[in-house]
Amino acid sequence: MTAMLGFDSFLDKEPEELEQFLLEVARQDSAPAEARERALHNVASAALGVGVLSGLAAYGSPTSLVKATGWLVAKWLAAGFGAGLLTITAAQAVGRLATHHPSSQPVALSVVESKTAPQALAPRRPSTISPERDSTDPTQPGQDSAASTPVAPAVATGARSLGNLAASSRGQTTVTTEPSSLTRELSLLEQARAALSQHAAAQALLALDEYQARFPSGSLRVEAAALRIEAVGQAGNRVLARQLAESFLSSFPSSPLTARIRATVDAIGSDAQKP
Amino acid sequence: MADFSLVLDGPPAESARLASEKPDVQARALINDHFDFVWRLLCRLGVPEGDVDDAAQQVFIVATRRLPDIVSGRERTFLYGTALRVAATIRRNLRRRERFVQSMPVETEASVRTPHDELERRRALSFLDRVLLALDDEQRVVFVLCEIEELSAPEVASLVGIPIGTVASRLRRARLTFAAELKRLKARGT
Repeated sequence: MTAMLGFDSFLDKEPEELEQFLLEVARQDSAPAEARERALHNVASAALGVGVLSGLAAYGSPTSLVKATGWLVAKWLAAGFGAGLLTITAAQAVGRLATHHPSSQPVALSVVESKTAPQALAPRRPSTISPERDSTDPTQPGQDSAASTPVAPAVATGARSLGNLAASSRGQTTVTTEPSSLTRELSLLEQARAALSQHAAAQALLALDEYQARFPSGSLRVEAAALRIEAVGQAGNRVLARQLAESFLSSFPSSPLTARIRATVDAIGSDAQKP
Repeated sequence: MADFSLVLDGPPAESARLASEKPDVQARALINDHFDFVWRLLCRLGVPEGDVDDAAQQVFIVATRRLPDIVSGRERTFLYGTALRVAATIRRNLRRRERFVQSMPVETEASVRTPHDELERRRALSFLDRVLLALDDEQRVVFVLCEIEELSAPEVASLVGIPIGTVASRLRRARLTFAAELKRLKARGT
């Protein structure tokens, strides 16, 4: 009730005083730093508009591309196929490789690319993700979807994603994004964000899956990855969400989204402590 | 009418200085210079708190797409016009869904979690926005620009594109409406 007392206190002011008080509060109002960071990231990415590297360029550092590659692999493997610890570990290994040995990344990518399985090339369908699947504990291989989803194709598909990025980083592939597609990208991410705000994690994941399927090289895919962490956490898979977040943070230590990701991890941690 | 755009936009800012830079660099400069202005404007023009984040991004995405069309030094004028349109669209959609009143931030989950001072600040802003709802769009724009952004009448006239005399008359009516609505809501204790 202390909050209500505070609210009552400014209503006790005389009208003239209250008017000046309200206007002064409004004059001092400013955008939250997090909102500014999101705008800086999203709008600057959108400004580039085209190319596989557009979303990553916002991070500024020459090594960020390599780090980003590690993260995108983690996202694809872990979120795309709901597989178990093996894929998470593999993704984290790639993330660590990106962090500690950026110069060796293209070599590693080429090796993995050679393992690509043809059957894994089809884009992931939204229906392959369900809240139940995302709520699976990746630390318990064998009792989850990994039992019905072969690990090898999942790794191979992840490798395909990795290979694409590797090729792109070598300038062999250029995926262009029309300006109008940015609107569609934004629309899907707004759907996901709106669903999250209404605690509809399954809908958010569907929107993010559709984004992943339609815009695998989208300008806002890093933002989509961040939203996916929140969605997975909200769906109840705290372990996977935390692992994805850790991978994100290690891959993008200077990302403007790190504060948001850390807040998500903290929220998950505090939820986990509840009886 | 005299051109007050330079007064409005101030001395050459980061965004103007970097006009020859790459688009993403220009976009970042634009945000760094004007994000708070756009944010406050959207808040006071009736965009619900939960939608301001996305609305602000919409404004800057539009501005970024139109970067080649924006005259250096007149960024704020362009952003103002874009923010007005974005806010109007959002308000229209909200009215259509009859969600406007319900979506005003009275007792949001986020506000419950904030410290006391922050909570009171949010509630004060929420109360202010309810008072501002009593003003029609024309009055509200002039009132916000004059009383909150503290722009002069000539500056507002330049920004909105109306005569100075019209600014003065709208501001006069807006102040009367604002004071009356404030008293009414204060008496209700809401």
